Amino acid sequence: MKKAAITYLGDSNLLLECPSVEVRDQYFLELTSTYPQLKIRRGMESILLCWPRPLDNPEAMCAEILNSLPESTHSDTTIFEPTIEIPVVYDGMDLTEVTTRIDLSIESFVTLHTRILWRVDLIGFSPGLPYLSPVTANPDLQRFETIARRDSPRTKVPAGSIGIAGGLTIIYPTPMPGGWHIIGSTKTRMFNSSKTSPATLSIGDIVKFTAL
Amino acid sequence: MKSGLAKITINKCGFASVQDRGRMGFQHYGVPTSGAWDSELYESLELILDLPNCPAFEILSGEFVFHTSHQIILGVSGNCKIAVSGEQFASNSQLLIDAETLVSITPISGPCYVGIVDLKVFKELGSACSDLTSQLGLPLVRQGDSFEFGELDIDKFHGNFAKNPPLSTNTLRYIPGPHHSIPDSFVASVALQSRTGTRLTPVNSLNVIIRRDLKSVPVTMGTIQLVSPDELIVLGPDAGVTGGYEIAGAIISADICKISRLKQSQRITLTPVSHEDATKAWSESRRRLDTSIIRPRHLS
Repeated sequence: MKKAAITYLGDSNLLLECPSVEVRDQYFLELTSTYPQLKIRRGMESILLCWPRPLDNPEAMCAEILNSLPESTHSDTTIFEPTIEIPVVYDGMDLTEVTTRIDLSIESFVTLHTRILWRVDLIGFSPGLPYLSPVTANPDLQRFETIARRDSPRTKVPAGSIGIAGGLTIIYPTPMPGGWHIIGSTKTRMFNSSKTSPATLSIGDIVKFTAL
Repeated sequence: MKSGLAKITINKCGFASVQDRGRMGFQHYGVPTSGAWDSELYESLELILDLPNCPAFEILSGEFVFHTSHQIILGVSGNCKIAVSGEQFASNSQLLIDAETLVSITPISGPCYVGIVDLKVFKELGSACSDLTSQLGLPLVRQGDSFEFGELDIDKFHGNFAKNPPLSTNTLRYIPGPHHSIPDSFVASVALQSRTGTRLTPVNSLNVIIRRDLKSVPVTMGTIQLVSPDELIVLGPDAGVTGGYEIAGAIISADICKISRLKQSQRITLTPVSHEDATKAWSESRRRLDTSIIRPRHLS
């Protein structure tokens, strides 16, 4: 398996690029345990380690971190159970265009999207915004991967919009500019600052979309 | 002590918001740290008032005028004009303002920070800072807004002031990586400034092909993103916590405060430096800040 690579992001951060989301999570557990004093957060297949001041010897720290990483293991046998259901009205403004492009009827598209289980790989870009990737094997999944982002993003996408691009699904938590294709919407709130854990979804959650 | 509700009322306002050190510990929920754009000037205010993480008005442009109903201890940092009932005062200082007084603050260049001892401000996720992009905290300050403050403790008035010499903003130093694609001593002009990011237009279009298939990586304030051969963005405090654009590098810690002081159409040079240079610059910036504060009460 391809190994992790480490680069700089400024003078006080190191960016660890991981070969997969699964390996990222293994490394994340190890690094947060080994370096509890650091701020460590995840990207899609990357981890950022942040120090409070510029690093005195970044080369040595890079070597130390790479040496501390465990041997990554890959599992094909994980069985996923949905931890949260999200009801969706599949009437998004791009649904017709997307289904035409990938040669599926709207009904077949909705069946596919709701049959697959989706894992939250990342919460990022905006408070509570989840990036979900499919974890259920399905021969039609590669159709989703062919859907590229829009050529030009919209200046405003409504809150609760379900977006799809590059094989991933996202849910816009608030009205914001957006470049993903909108296939539907949900009333499930993605972020509530009054709660102790303000994001509705967390990395690792397994989501099942249901059609209303 | 005068009775009645102690508050300031905003009479006039340009672009101003409430800021502090930022919203810590929520980035894994997608919440930006946000907070004061010019960390050095904000820290200077903290030292002037002897109040760590005090809520402060960050004034980016326009005259900021308020009326105070009661006596207050006011601190101001940054390059600005201050008038108290029409009389001029020096910035980067702590002032004791009488009740029923009109105070006017106008930034000259760069942001300025205005703090009031015991100012009460709404907090969201543990911070008073306004994140205008994520819509957390208070919205922009408006004419007619009022803010309460606590009973004055005169022992908190020390008459502190700071020496804040101007910094040259013509060069921003950065550490290259992870997708370094810009020439050394790269010149660009400032196209647009906002707390989300500073857009730069290269003087000469970059001869690069920008990848669009990158997986999102965690980013920080000062990250230099390559949007197109004709546009770069240096991320600000309200930018998203992850980004999918190529990254040329990130501004060094010592130069982060300069970003907010850039002017529209200003030409700047982005210069790559080593970690050793970045560390030296950081130490120098800390020394500058630590030695800038004068505390008259402690001199006797």
